[in-house]
Amino acid sequence: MTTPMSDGSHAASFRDPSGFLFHDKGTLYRQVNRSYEADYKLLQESGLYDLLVEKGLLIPHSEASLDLARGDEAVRILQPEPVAFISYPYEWCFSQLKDAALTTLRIQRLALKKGMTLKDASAYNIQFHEGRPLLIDSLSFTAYTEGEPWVAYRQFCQHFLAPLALMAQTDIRLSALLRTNIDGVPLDLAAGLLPWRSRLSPGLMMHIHLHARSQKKHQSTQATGKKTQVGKNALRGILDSLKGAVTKLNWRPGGTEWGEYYDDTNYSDSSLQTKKDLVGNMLDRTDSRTVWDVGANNGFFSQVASDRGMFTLAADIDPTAVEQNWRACRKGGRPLMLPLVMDLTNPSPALGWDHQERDSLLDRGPADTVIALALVHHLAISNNVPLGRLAAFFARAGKHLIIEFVPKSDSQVKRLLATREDVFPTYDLAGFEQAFAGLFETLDKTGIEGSERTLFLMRRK
Amino acid sequence: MLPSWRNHQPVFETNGNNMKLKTCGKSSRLSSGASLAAVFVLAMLLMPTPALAYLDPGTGSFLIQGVIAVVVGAGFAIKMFWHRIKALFTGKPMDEDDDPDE
Repeated sequence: MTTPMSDGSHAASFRDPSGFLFHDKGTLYRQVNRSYEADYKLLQESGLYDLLVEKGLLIPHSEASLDLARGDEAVRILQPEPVAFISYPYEWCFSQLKDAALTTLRIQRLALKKGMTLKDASAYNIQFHEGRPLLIDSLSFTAYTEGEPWVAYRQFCQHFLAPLALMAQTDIRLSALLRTNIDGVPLDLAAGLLPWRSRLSPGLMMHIHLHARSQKKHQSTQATGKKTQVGKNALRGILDSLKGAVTKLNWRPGGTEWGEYYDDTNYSDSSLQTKKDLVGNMLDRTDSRTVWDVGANNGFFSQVASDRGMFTLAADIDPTAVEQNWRACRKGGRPLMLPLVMDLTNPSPALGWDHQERDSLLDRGPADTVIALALVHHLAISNNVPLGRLAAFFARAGKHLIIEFVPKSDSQVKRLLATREDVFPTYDLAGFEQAFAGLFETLDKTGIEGSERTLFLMRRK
Repeated sequence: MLPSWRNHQPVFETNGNNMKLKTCGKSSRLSSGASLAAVFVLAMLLMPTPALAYLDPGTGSFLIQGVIAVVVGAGFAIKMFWHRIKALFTGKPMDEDDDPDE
């Protein structure tokens, strides 16, 4: 976790003067400052808070003692319901970002009905909580004044619409632009990267292409734009247009239909079930509350953990697998699962001001148990990571480790070695056990029926 | 070289005073100080009070909203009118957030 500031405030919570997050004895609180008092009152009295919480769109909070206040600006101390894992937009698959975008627009529509408006539309304010996207920043609302344009319009386009359009129409991997641009994808960059046909979509034409031109045209003028009048009905029209633009964006990997893509596996149903049972039995010995399944594919084995009531991060490098997992989660039945796109050879770093606004993957751990199935050969052979270094990474990531060793005789490893020189003389079962022995104690070791693979349950020393 | 459209800045962007006159409409020919003051006061009254905005909304982003509002505003009004008529006959709410209790 990010190191708190000297006053206990969260290092990422500094942009908005309305208040900030802080930790006290391991509990997260949000301070409401005097400058936000009227808006906070309106949030409650207008019924907007109750409405959004009832619809599962805003994180619920309780009010805590003012004795916890940091400084004399405090008027309220809120204690939000804890979110199991803070994830970032550059870790979301296409539909997660799309659902987060539609959630933001829905919240803004409801806010307008109650006489308020979102003063920011940051994708970082949306988190996946119990299987659904919701707003975690209770201080994002301010009183709406008739005629006022949406102050967060630019941020919405940069954080949501531009990356979604790029992922859908240019290349799914462009979600990585959210990692290099902490305030969303600059619209001139998006406009330049989008294909010409994006101009045929009225929504993308207006909200990205013309918007980018307008930004460029007025970037050096003294005008503030504050004289622009947008009536409430027209503002609702803009929100409806944004919703339409987001809704129309879809991504299908390789033009395939969902459902066909991952049905084809190399395993028979019975051997998959056997492996599931083995993983489940090992998990039962760990007494875990949080599990990170790394290289989780579409979450097939992650379900073993989430079905046991453990919060399960299901991370995979393949956006298609993560997309399929998220679609299954969204249908219900996997509220404890959080699918994320993550390249373990280059996991999310610490980002932003002072390297502390966005935590690295390991900063958000450790997990009680890390599951790494059919992964070691990809890291050790495709990415040349020595086995000892793999052990060191896993020792930082979790307290327990359920890991599958895939030997050189396995068809998947043969395939990896077919096109390259074998420079891995110690890559065998004995070498693997030796490399992990320094940091882990092996609690269980069992061969996987019908394969030459071995499954280990280890505990960090 | 700058693109040609950079050389066609509207009057209201290059001069703060002129901008106020222009946005109030049809008053750019007024010359007396009293009239100017009246127009200024009227402009201030018509101007929305800025929300507690810690983000820079961006001038271009604000201005384009004014343009888009004109493009989509009428269409949205017609759409809502049509949905209301449909809802009247089907008895169903217009969308998931149009519950009567809201």
